[in-house]
Amino acid sequence: MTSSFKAALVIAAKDIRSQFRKPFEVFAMFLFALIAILAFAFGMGGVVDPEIGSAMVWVIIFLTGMFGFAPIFLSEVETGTLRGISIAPIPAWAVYIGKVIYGFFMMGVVEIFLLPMTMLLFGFAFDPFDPFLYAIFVVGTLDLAAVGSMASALTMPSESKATIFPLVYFPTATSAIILLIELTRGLVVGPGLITLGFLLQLLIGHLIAMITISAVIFQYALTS
Amino acid sequence: MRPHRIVLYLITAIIGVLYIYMTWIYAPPEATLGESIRIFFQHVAPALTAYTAFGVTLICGILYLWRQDIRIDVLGGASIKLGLLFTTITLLTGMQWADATWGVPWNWDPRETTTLILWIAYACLWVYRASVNDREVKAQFGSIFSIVAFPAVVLSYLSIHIWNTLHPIVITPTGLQMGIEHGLTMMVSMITILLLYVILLELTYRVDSSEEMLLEYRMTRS
Amino acid sequence: MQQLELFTVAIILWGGILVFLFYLFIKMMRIQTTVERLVQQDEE
Repeated sequence: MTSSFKAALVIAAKDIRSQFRKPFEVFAMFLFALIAILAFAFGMGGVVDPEIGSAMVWVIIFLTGMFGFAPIFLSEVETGTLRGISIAPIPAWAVYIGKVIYGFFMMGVVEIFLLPMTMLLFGFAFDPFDPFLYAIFVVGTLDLAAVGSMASALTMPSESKATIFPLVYFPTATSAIILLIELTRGLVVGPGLITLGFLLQLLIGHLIAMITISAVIFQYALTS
Repeated sequence: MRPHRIVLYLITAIIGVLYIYMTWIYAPPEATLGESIRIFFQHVAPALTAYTAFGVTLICGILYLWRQDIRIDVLGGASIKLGLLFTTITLLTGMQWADATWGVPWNWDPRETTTLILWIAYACLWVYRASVNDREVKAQFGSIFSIVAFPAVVLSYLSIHIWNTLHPIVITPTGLQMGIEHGLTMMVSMITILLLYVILLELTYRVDSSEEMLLEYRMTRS
Repeated sequence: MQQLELFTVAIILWGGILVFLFYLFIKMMRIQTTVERLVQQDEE
């Protein structure tokens, strides 16, 4: 068990290290997010309501994920290293967890730059000393990384990978996005009918369910 | 045609005629909704049948990963199509009903939104399956996808309990909240649409599996 | 007006099912023509 976790960390570390060799990829994700912000600003006519602006944060991260999570497994197919992973003596779920950590790291780096930028441009502010804010962003990003890695693995056998990835990513990520938008809106304009704690519990429940289901059935994606 | 199939079709036809009679003549107008209660009998049953269809797809997905039998995957694929058909009917009749009672066909009510998400999610699954060429890989990865996508169904069903909604909650833990005539009509509508689902599923399965056989034959021939 | 709305709902439900049956029928026809062509090719 512990050795498998170590293997997962090794996979994550390997991917993060190879990411440092091509830092333009993370920068490309950040630029994509910036373009999305610009497009939304055009659509909403400049000045944006804080309520809508805070909800937009997750919409932008969702769209950036559509673009950034796709290579998690697809790059392995391109370089032909997937075979090595699938015959290595590591359980399949450890491969999956390693990839989730890598996706979380990648999106986390983008978010560190993206979040202040969005707050500045859309004119709203999160309380930077609220531990709840960090909990939401950590759980939310982890959830999206879990869904994105699975979606990337599912896209591997498809004939038209670039078109299909968003379609695989959308159904699984949407429930998380709805919860995350409610949560951040609650942080900015105050909670609505449902308390933020309950929403966060639902989100954590979704994360645990997604990770468990994916980790259990991931072996079927590697064996074929 | 085998006798048991004729019996099934006959029963469905009789109950179907009864269903049409009960929907349009037997059920009295409701106190607040008036005549538009008749839309209700043609809206709820397809909705629940759509959930059933997607549930069948999930079960087929799990069974396929367990038994690796391609016939199970063909059945699951047929159920996706039927689920999409009944979700489309639900969305369109729901829009008519919303137009009749709330005055607008679409107002982003949580129930409407999540049903639309459901439709998109399974349409994505259908497109995804079409984009994989290798038959066995399609079955394998399609099964995984159907398992991962199922939380969308659960979310759609739970949404009215999580968010405040305009959508009436008819089925509560204490039972059906309606009069006896309406309850009976509701029950008959459920049975009719479910029987229709079973018949359509069988037909789709047969057509799809003969298509599979044909493809396989052409592969071995060339 | 209301009669028309109610009628539309019936059209959606039964029309939807009929359209699906029609789709199955078309698919079956296509399978049949392909099979016929294959048989013909085999005979030649």
